[in-house]
Amino acid sequence: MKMKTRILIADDHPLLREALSQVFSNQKDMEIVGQASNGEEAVSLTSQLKPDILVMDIMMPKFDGLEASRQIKKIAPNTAILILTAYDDDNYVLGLLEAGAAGYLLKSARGQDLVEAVRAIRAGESVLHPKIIEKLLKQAMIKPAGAVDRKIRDLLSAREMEMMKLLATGMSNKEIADKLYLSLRTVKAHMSNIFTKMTVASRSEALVEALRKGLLTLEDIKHGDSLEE
Amino acid sequence: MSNRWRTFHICVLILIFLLLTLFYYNDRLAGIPIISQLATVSFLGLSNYAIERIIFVLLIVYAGWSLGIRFGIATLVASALVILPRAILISLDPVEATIDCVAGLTIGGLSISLIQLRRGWHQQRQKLRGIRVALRTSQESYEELFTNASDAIWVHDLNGKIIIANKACEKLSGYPIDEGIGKSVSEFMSPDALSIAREVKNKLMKGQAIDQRYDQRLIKKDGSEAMLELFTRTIRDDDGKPIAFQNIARDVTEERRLRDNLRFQIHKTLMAQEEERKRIARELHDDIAQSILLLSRQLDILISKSDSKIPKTAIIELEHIENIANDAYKSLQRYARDLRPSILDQMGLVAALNWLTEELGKELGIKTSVKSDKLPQLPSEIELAMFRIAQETLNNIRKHARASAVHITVQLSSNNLKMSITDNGKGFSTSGLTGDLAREGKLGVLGMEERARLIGGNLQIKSEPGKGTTVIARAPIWTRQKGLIPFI
Repeated sequence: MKMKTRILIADDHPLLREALSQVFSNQKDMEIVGQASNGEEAVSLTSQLKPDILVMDIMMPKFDGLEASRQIKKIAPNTAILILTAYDDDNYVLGLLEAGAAGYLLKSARGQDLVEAVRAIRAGESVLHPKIIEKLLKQAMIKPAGAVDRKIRDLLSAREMEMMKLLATGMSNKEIADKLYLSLRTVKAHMSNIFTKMTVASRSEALVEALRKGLLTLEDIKHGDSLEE
Repeated sequence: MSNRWRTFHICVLILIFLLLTLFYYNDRLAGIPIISQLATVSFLGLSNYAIERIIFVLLIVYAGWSLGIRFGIATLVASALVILPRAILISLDPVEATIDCVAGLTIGGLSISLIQLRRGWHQQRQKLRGIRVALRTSQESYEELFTNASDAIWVHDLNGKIIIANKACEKLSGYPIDEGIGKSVSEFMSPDALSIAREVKNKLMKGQAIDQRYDQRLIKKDGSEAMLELFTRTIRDDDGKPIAFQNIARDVTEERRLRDNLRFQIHKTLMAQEEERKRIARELHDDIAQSILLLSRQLDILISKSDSKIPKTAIIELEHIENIANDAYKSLQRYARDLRPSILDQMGLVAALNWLTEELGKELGIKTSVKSDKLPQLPSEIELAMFRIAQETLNNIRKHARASAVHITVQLSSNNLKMSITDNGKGFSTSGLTGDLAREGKLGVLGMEERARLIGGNLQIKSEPGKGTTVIARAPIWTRQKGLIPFI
């Protein structure tokens, strides 16, 4: 039997927390493993319960959602963080991604969108618009290509690197499968490996990491339709 | 003497002179009928033409008295030329006659000399009196000004010993004048003030004048400090060497206090305004927005329940309600964000500027850009001030500029932050002085200026009609923020 996706909800508003939980627990492939009411709790519960996905409101009192993200990534790198944000400003969002979020959604997103986002993250799919990715990659701390550590370079296999590059252009798993003449399952498996090797829990994180480590450069992500300015 | 009188006198003189000459030589002129008739007159038995001679002398004196010594001498010479020939050549006793003439002429000459001398003395005396009066008046005026001036004036020698001081010094220093005289000025100064004073003295001794008032502080008798605007000049002796310094001081303590008070009030008001905005934004967001969100979400759950027994038509209605709720939520978000953008608090100034410009760009369909040096973590007060300045500027651009491009640059150099906002809109004429704009109540400039000043910086606005506008805000970055109101 397939494992249910284990989800932790963090939101300071109790009724909203309840409502969110209901959204996910209505799904057969998901279960709520816990609820946190502030950033501190989010961090501690995550380290205890090690959920697959943390759905977190970015704005909670006392504790900065961004800071929580950074900390959680350190202690539970395999937990993907889906952030619920009030604003979808690019500038806002980029900060979130740099902090290690897997993706974000507006707080006002429909239940259906939330559920699909969770599923997408689990599948290693992108939950971000390619333009956002490009913007992110441009603005993230990018090491200049060139002197890449041999150890880092050998991190991913050639196949995986190939996938990485395609990933960077915003292709879905299916599209990658088609391009490389592989089955979807194979692609997903590779994704999983990539994530493990890079100790990340989602595609977005993988991209950020790849850039930080110098495995990818801006050139790699030049996207067909994103050359508009 | 008026010209008419002079002419009169001259006419009389010449007339009588001529007549006299005719009388004198009447016997030689016997051929001329009228004259011989006139000439037969003789008075007082004084013949020998003595009477004529006497009248000639009188004429000399008359000329000297009425027309001045030059005329007197001229008449003397003329008379001599007339009477001497007869005396020497024609009269019966030439020697006596000549002596007679010379005596007369001498008397005449002496008389006019005396008259002249007396006149001279008189004039001198008048002049002297005039000078004395002028001097006294001037002295009295100076003394009056000195004593009663509202500015404190004192003179001290090169070592600082006070020589004289006016009444206002009492009020300023708290010491009565006779207590102050003889004291050294250094007794009234703190070490900082002393170093300023020393600098001033050096400059003045070198011969450089200080044209402007400068700030200085004074310790009063009761120990408190007074802020002064001081003007110092050198007093020199006849050789041009400095011997003393005169100081004129205006007490600006109250003025400065009021100004700083005012600034403090403005600061408090701005801060209160910010706090209020923050509070309202948070309440809008935390309280109301969340409730609406909840409303929206509950509806969503209701609609998407697969085992729901709600009829289709009802679901459509519910979706409709959910949309309304969503819109309400979005509106609230927008209001809250305009009041106090959390992006500023969370992501920093540059991100917030990006947001501002992008919103403007979307709204007006114009090009925008934000370029920034790499910035360290800035103190929140500075980020907020800069953000508000930018917000106000962009509002102005939205309202007035009709621009097609807006660019913001943020630069950091040697602990100074500089933010420039340029637009290519229609611009406006400024007298160059931001103060005027502020006074005219235009463009929310006063608020921007004050905000800049409160973080220890300044604001500059450059614009020309048709050539766009640039707003430049500068502020120093301290690693540890001092109190917000530097006493400048």
